[in-house]
Amino acid sequence: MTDIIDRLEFFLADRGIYMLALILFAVGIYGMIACGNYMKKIMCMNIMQVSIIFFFLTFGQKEGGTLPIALENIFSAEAYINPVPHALMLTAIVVSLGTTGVGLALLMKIKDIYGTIEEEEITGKGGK
Amino acid sequence: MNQIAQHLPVLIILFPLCATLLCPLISHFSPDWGKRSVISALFLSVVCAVWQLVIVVSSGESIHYFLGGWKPPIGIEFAVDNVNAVIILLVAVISWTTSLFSSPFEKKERTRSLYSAGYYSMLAFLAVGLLGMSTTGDAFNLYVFMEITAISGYGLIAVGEEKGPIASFRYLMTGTIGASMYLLGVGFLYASTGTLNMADLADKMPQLTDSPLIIIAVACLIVGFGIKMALFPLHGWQPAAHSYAHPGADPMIAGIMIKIPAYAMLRFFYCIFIEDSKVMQLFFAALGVMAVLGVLFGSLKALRYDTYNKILAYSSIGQVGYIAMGFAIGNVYGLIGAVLHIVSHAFMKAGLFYTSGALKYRYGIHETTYLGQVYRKMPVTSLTMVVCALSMIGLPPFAGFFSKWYLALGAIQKGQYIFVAVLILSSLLGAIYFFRIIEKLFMEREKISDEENNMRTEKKGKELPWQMLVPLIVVVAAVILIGLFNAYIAGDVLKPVITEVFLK
Amino acid sequence: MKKSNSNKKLAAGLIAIIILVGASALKIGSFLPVIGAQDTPANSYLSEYYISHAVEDTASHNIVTAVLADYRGFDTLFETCVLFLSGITAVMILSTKKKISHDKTIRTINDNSEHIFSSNIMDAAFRIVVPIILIYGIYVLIHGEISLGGGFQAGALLACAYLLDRIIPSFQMRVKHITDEIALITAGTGALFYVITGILPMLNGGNFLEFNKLPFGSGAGDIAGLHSTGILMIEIGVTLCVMGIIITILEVVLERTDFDD
Repeated sequence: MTDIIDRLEFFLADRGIYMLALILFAVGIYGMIACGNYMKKIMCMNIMQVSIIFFFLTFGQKEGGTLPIALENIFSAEAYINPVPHALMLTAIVVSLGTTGVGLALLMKIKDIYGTIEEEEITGKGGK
Repeated sequence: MNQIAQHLPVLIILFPLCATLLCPLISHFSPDWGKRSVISALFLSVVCAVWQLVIVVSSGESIHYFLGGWKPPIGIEFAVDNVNAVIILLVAVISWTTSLFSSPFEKKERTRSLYSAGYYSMLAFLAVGLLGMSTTGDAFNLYVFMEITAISGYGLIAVGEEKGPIASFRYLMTGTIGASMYLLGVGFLYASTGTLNMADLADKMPQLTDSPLIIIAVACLIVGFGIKMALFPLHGWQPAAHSYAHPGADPMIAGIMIKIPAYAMLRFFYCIFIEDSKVMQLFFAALGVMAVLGVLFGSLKALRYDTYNKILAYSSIGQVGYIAMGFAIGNVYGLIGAVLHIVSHAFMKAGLFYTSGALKYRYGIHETTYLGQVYRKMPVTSLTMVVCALSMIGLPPFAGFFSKWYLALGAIQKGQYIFVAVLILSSLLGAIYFFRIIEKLFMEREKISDEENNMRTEKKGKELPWQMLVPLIVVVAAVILIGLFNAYIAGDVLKPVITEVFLK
Repeated sequence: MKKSNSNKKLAAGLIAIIILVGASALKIGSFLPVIGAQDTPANSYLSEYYISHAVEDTASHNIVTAVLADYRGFDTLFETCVLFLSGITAVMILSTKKKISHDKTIRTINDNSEHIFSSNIMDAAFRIVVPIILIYGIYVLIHGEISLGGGFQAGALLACAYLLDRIIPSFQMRVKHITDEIALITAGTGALFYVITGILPMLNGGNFLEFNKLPFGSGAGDIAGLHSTGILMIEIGVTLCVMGIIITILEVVLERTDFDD
């Protein structure tokens, strides 16, 4: 029994964050499909995008590494964490901001036309 | 001259990009010149794309352009070979004709100068995104261009007709899921190989054939690209989005915006992953099942509707199924058929949406029941509709017949007769709904309501403005020429690259 | 009644999803490399090159800025374009909505003081905080290569100073009111500055965005100076674009919103 608990504990320490990131991704997609309110769908979309950002950033961790700002004359790769996922995820954050902005503008226009942002009421008014 | 020629891959993207960034500034002073700068920049892109195609085909080797001067895999590179160059030319031509086509619409709807600048900016950004997706050789750069395409798509659908904002919101939700699945797939690939350059990934693949991470990456990539190209079970956003988009931009959205992710899927699955391994054969079989179901679903659903745009939108689902069938077949003729179908269907579908936009501009017609005897007053539009419809059914001298012919040849060579049966059945179903439209165009007597009668009599005798006639003529010429020269295109342009690069 | 029923169904579905995905994520996680290891493929091929050669190739001590603005500068150009595009799309989508005019009612105060906000605390805070934010924003922009910082962060900070003035209710606007059209033109100019920084090496014999061949500088040996100049010009372009777009989206939303107070 303690053997299983020990193995589980090592697994969670070594790879637990991957599991959490993938669960958050699935929760985000489920929320986007199942929620009835359009505003909640946009919030779940943000949860999904943030979980992918976490997933990428955990590839870059190194034990004992510090921030990737080059100190004087220390250029070995063990001293710094991997800078590539950070640069890629800056782009992903900006793209997520752009999509959320467009989504919110669409929400304002839908509320103006139909008067509501609940999906059932919009489908009831013939807006499928 | 030589100095310009060595920078061609990036010049094709730079011209529309500079025009769209300058468009709000120029439109502040004069909206007409903002519109004209975008149209002329896209025309310069067409010229450069033709030049690039001539260089690549005549020299026989691919162009590699290193951005920033860094050699790959350290920096980003552009890789252009024969297949690429043809698709870049296709995107450039359709972007230019669509920007010309939407100028009468925009002149009618202009309320403030920022509105015209915004519309043309979004159109040019759509062109930049699609051109970039076809040219790049780096997996993460593809994601950024895919998002540029998607956001400009959301905007152009949202300024459309009655249910535009709802259709755009649904596309936003689904499209973001697709892009995130693509990013997850690239993440798994990066975790197992450590590089993002496509040629470098292809080099590292042989050692990793059975790794479970690659299997998960391929599954994520299929879902991601499938949502973007509206493959069968993932097509939910497409009918509403294509029917309610802005009529001036709809030809580009329906013609090329769903095809370029299909080209990207071809590039990933055949150039990067090893197509002979057992795992990839399983995935191709799954792709084949989805393709067959998509073709049947699209053709059957299109029979139910009477709205012109909805019929065309459902028929697109079927045509994307043909392209996926070409990928699933997997030998030389299958891939040639798939690429040729990307090119020919783009022109055919764009042509049909040009006629739909022209009918809406002139008469406000949405349902096919009101089409009676329009051919007398709009001869060019009717000619385009007839040529494109016959080509979509698959009649011989037009382009549509030859792409289906190569697909059938490839299926027979591999002994997969079910694909041939599906091809024939769907062509027959297509004949039913397209002949219905053509019959209503020529045979039926006019059946119009009172206010439409008033609208028609006041515009009696006037043909379309010249900006709308030029795209129609270009499309008809392209469909006929691709049909006549198909042996040259398939044999000399596409076949060498497909045998050497795609099917090692 | 119906609401609590659908809430219960949502909650049950959520728990089912978490259990299913958790079980499969356990299996997937066992194939992924251990977090924190030094010798995974992701940490050892390209990133070793970037870490060891960033200072000598690009003269920038911040390795993330070197990767973002120099080695993969083309990606950053189109990321800036995504921001610009989303600003234009937001303006176009809301362009037909009715604008609501806000009349700021002048509240009279008894004593003849020089406060312009409705309380002393807000007035003092505004006068002290906004200049600090502006100076900090420019500091972050210029220090992008030496320590933490960069163009995106600086643009967001500079937009915050304008946002503070727009949101706090006051008798008169301290800062000139920027319309959405002017903000969009500023953003477009910023992104165009980035593109021009890329086109300049093309006129001098290099590729797009190749900083070694920028036509400034004193001779062919000053690689560090050329790369520094190039990265600074790129960051200025990005800052202008980000600031313009945040102000655009703010103005577009505020003009069409009805405040209830």
